[in-house]
Amino acid sequence: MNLRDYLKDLVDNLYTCARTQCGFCVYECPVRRVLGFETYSSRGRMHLARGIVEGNVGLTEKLVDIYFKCTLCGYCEAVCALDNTRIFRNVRKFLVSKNAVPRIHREIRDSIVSSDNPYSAERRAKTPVQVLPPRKSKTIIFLGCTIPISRRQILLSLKKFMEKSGMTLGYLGPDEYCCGLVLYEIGFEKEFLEQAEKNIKSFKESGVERIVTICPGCYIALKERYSEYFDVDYEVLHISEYLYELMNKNKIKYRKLSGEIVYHDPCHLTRHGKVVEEPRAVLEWLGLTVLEAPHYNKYYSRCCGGSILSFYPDLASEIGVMRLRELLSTGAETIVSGCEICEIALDKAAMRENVFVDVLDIVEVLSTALS
Amino acid sequence: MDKEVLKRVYSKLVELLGEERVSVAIEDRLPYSRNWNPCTRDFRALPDIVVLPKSTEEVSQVVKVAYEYKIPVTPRGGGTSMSGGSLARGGILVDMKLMDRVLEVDKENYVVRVQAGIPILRLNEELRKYGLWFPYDVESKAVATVGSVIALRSDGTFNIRYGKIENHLCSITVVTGTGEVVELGHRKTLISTSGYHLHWLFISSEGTLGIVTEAVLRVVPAPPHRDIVGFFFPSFSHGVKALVDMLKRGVLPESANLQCKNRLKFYTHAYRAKYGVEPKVPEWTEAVLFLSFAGDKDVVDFMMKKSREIVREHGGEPIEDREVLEMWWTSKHVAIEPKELRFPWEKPFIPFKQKWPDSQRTRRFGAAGVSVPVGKIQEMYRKYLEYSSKYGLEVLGMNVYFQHPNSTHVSISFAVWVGDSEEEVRNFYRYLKEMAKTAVDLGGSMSAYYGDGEVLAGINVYEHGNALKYMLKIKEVFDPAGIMNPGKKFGESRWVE
Repeated sequence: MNLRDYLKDLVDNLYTCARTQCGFCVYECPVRRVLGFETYSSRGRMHLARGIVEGNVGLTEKLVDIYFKCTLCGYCEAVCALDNTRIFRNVRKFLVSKNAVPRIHREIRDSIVSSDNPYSAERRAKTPVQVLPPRKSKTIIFLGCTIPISRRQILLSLKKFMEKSGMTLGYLGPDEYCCGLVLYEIGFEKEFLEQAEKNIKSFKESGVERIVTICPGCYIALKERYSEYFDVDYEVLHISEYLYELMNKNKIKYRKLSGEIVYHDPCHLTRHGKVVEEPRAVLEWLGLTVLEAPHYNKYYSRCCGGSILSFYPDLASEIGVMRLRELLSTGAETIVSGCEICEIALDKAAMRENVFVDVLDIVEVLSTALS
Repeated sequence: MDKEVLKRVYSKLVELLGEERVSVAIEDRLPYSRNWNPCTRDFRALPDIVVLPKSTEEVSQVVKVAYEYKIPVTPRGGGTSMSGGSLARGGILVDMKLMDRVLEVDKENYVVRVQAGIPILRLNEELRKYGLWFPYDVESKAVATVGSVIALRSDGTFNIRYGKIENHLCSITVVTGTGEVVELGHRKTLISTSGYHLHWLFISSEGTLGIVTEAVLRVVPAPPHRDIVGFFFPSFSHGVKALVDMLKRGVLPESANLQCKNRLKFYTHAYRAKYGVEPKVPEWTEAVLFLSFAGDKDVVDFMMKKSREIVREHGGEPIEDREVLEMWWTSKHVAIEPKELRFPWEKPFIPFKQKWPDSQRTRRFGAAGVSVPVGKIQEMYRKYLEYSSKYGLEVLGMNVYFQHPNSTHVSISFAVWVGDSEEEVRNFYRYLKEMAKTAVDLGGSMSAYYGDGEVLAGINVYEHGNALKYMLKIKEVFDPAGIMNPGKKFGESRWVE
C-alpha cells in the first residue's frame, strides 16, 4: 500500500493546503519554533506528504524524523479547517508499514506489548492494588500507566478524594490495560487494537457503564479512538468533567481554598477532547483565581512538549521551557493542569530553568481542599 | 547549481551557521516550493539550500558567500506572496523567521526596533504589554513578517487612518547584494530632508536590492474603543461619494472597505458557519461599504451616527443586522486567535473552521490586485466582469481597500475562482494581464499590494516604460552581481504569456 491508500479522502486536504498556503499554522508550531525549518510546521508536513504521494520524496531517515517529531498538539488544527493531525497519523501508519520507525518508538511499542506500559516498568507497578484495591462498579476510574508509575502523588490524592468524599469509584486493577494511545499515535495499529480489545473485553465483563480518566491520553483513546474501530457503549469522562458534575450537584463537601493559579490546557484534553471550561470551573469553585497564559490558552494553548518527552527529550525540553515561561509570565507560583504528562514536562522545564514552582494536577488541588 | 559549487557553498554556510541551520535536504526544501499565487497542482520552485540566520551579521555572511559564488539569494517571510515573490530559482533561500526578536520598545517615542522576521501578529502581541499597537495590520498577519510587508508594501486594514508601510518606517538595516550592512533612513523619526531617503527604495523592492534585517517602526497607543458600521449602496460611485463626503466633513474612519455583493459572500463565512444561511442583502445593492471608527466611545458614537446621516444623503442604507457586521469583521480582519481581540464584540474565528482552507477545497482564490483613481472604480469593475467572463473565470468578488490616510486612494482586489489545471491557471494569468494593463490605462498601477514578483516581471514595462531602465541601474548599485531575488520585477514573467 502507498500513502494515498492510507490517506484516502484526506489526500484532498493536501491539495487544499497547497492551494491555500495561508500559513496560519507555521509560525506558532512548537517544533518549528525550536528547529526552524518550515518542514517541521503543519504546512511543511502537508507539503511533504504531497511530495510522498506524488513520488518526489523518498522514505529517508530525515522524513521519518520530521513526522515523528510532531507533538500532535493540534495547534495547527485549531487555526485551520483541515484534518492536519489525522493526516500526520496516517503518514506515520504508512511509515510503520514500511518499517520506517525510529528505534525508540519501536522500543516503546515492545514495552507496551510485553509489560503493558510504555516505560518498561514491571506490570505490577502500574496496578497499585495495595493503594487502590480492585472493586467492581458501574463507574470506574481508569488509571493509565503514567500516574501509578511516575506521578504517584496523584494516585494518593485520588484515594484521599474517594475516602473523604465518599464517592468511591470502581477500579479494574490487573484487568485494566494500557489504553494504547501511544501505539495509535505512532501508527502501530495492530498493537493498538490488541490493547483496545483487551480493555473493551474487561469493561464488558465488569459491566462498566462510565469510565473516569485522569490522563487525557486515556480519555481520548477510550472515548474517541476505540470507537473508530469498535462499537462501544460506555461513557467516558475526564476527571475534571466528573468533578464538575459532582460539584454542580453539591455532592462534594470541601473547604474553600484561596490564591492564584495558572491553568495549563493539555492538548489532548482541550484541542482533541474539547474539554475547556470544566477544569476551570472546578478550580474556581474551589476558591482559586484561575489565571490564563496570555494569548495562548484554551483552544490556542501551546504545547508543553510532553507527548514527545520519551522520544525526543531535548526537543521536548525546549518546548517545555517556552511554555513554562508563558505560564509564569502571569505571575502565578502554582501551575495546575489536567494531565500528568504535561505536569511532568513542566516540572522538568522548571528544573531546567531552576525555577521553583508548584506543578499540580487538578486532583491534587481538590484533595488539599478536602483535608 | 553545479554540484561541486553546491558542496563548497554548503560547507561554507555550515561553517558559519552550523549544520542545524543549513540544509540541502529535499525534505527541508520542498515546503518552500510554493507561494500563494495560482499555480498548477504539481508546480514547485525549489531552492538548492535553505538557511536560517538569527542575526544581521549572519545574513551578511550568507550573502557574502552567495556573492563570492554568484548564486541567487531569495529571502522569505511567511511565504504567502500572491505574485511568487519568494519563490526561489535555485540558490540560497533565506528563511527569516528565526529573526523574530523585538529589540527595543521605546515607549516614550512611540517607536520599536525589531528583527525583520517577526510576524505582525506576534509583534502586536508583544506591544500589547505596553498598551501600544502597530496598526499596519495585513490580513496574513499570523505569518507575514515585518520584512515582507516592507518588501511588498502590502495592504492593511487600518490604512485609511494610518497609511501604508512608508508611514511607519523610520529606518532599516539592510544587507546589500554584496553582503555589506547598511543603515538606511532616519533613526527614530519619519521626518527628514537630509540625504536621499534610501529606505524608501526598499519599500516594495521585493528583496531585489538586498535583505531588510531590522526595522525601526512607529507605533501608536492602542485605541480605547472601536465600533463598526456597514452600508448597502446601489453602485460603487454612490459608496465612494459618501466616503468622500465623510472625509470632507471630518468623519474619519479607521478602516474602509467597499465591496461587491459577491465578495460579501466570501467574507460572511463565519455568519454562514453559525446560521447556515446567507445574510440578507437588498436586491438593488451593488456595493457594500464597511467602516470602523476608533477612539473615545463618545467620539466613535458621534462618527457612527454622522456616517449614517451622510450615507442616507447619498442613497445608501445601513446594515441593521449587527451579527452580519460582527461576522464580517471576524472573517475579514480578526486573526485566528483571541490574542487579536481588543473589544468585547470582536469574535475570533470559530476554532477548527478557519475560512481560508475551508473555502479553497476545490478551487482557489486568485486576484488581480491593482489600483485606479477613485473615479475609475466603476469602469474598472465593468472591465473585471468582462475579462473574467472572457477567460471563463467565475467571479469571486471585488474589494476596494482605502489605503491612504484620510483620502480615497485605493487598492483593489478583483478576485476570481481558479482551478488547478494548466488551462485554468493560464487563463487566470491572461485575465491578470488584461486587468493590469487596463488599470494602467485608467491612470492607475498594475500592482497595488503584492509587488511585481515573478508574475508582473517584464509585463511592468507597460507601466514604467524607460523608467524601468533607471530602476535596473538602482538595482545594480545595491546588487552588482544580480543575485538578489532574481526573476522578480525584472526579466520575463514565469506566469504571464
